[in-house]
This record gives sequence, structure tokens and C-alpha cells, in this order.
Amino acid sequence: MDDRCLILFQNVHIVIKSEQLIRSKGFEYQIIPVPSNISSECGMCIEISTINSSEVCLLLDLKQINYHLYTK
Amino acid sequence: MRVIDCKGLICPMPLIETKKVIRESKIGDELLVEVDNETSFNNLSHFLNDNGLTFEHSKEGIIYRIKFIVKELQIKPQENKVDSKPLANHGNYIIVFSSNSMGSGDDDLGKLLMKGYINTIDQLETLPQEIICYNSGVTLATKGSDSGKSLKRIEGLGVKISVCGTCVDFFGLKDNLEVGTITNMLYIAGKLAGDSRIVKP
Repeated sequence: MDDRCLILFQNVHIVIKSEQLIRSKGFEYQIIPVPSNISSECGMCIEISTINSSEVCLLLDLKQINYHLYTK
Repeated sequence: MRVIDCKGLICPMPLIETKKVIRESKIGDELLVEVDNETSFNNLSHFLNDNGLTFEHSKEGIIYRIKFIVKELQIKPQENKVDSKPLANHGNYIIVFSSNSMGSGDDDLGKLLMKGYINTIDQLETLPQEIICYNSGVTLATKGSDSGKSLKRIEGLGVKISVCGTCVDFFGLKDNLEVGTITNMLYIAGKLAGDSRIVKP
């Protein structure tokens, strides 16, 4: 499997919005619970391939979505 | 005393920052973390409690301050990728996806939760024997979809994936399934009436 990274968001509403955005542009992604080594209570995040991270970040930036990129 | 200024950072970044500083610190060092939201504060306090670190905290306006002394703790190592995990045991239970949404209330939220749930199954100590999908649950197995790929991975761990033929037909997915064996109502009814526990998220 290729290198993956996580995109973390402020709340679940932004996760849902961002998922729709990422899906609409055809990027491969997975919704996963925020791993317990990062947090046990911060809900869901989006896992993408590191190769796509700059493009996906640009997409989120354009929509002025606040997020944090977490590289494993 | 070292101050870790996490004001303006959203959860879980303050915890990530704090863990980083703890790793760089020596036993006996005194640290003060400042955060400006309750979620991050709760997150940090649970982490400290779980790791046996006693702390003092105060709140001033929206700023929470957490003070503690570094001692030996076990920060759990990064978890390995799921695909490097050995095959888990199979429990005597069947997961039924009767829709593509987990729980009821908000559909968007339910769909998101369902994806998170599916991506957690392969981390369970005991895997299900089988996953049965019907009604909009079959759409989770759609070719090229994120959930379809996840289900494919779970199938690779030895979990049988069965989908309702009538439902596949209804949603027009016959030639568009990533994973799953098409079954009929007799099969599904038999499974639901069998000895296995039924888990319906």
C-alpha cells in the first residue's frame, strides 16, 4: 500500500463537506475514526494517499476549509 | 517551566504537540499547556490520566491551562498499518448492513459513521463470520467506492460478504459490484434465523 496521510477537521460537519468535495474530484480516500494514538474522542477523519495530499489540500484551501494534515 | 502554547489549535493538534514536547523532555521537567477549547482540554486530560500523569488545571476566560511534571510514561507507539495485522479470529456473529447509514437521525452523518464503522471492522479482535447487505446496504459494495474497497479488504481477511440480489437489481448494481456474492431471501432469512448473533449497526 502507498503512503497514507490523515486530514483532520474541526468537526464532523466539515468532515462531511470535505468528503463530498474530495469525492467529487475523484480522489481516492477513506473515512476512518481518528486513530487512538492521536485522539480518542475527536471523531472521524479522512485518509488519503500522500501522493495526492498537496492537490487535496489545495482543494480544501480554495474552499477555505480549516484542516490539519497529519502524516503518519 | 516550558509553556506549550496551543491556543488557536483545534483538537487533536494540542495533544499531538504535547506528546511531541513530552518526548523531547526529561523526567522531572515541568510543562504548561495552554488551549482555548474544551474538546482539546478534555482530550489532553484524558491522555494525561490514561498515562498516570497527575496535573493541575485552571481556566481563565476561554483559556485552559494544564500543568504537569513529566515522568516516565508509555506513549503508545504508532499503530501498524491494518494490512500488516495477522488474521483475527472469527466470532460467532454476522454483521447486517440494512442500509448505507449507521443509526437514524441525520442521513449525512449516518453515511459518514457507516464508513468509519466499516473501516474499523478489521481492527476488531474477533471478525464477523459474514457481512450481509440488503436494501441500501448493498450500495456500500459499489465498484470503485471507498466503502466497496474497504469491504473488499475485509473479504480478504476471510469474511464472507453476501448481498441481496433483489436489492442489487433495484439499485442497478448488477455489473457494478466491487465485492460480494449475490444471494436470495431464503439464504438471508436462514442466516437471520440461525445461531449466530446479528449485529446491526
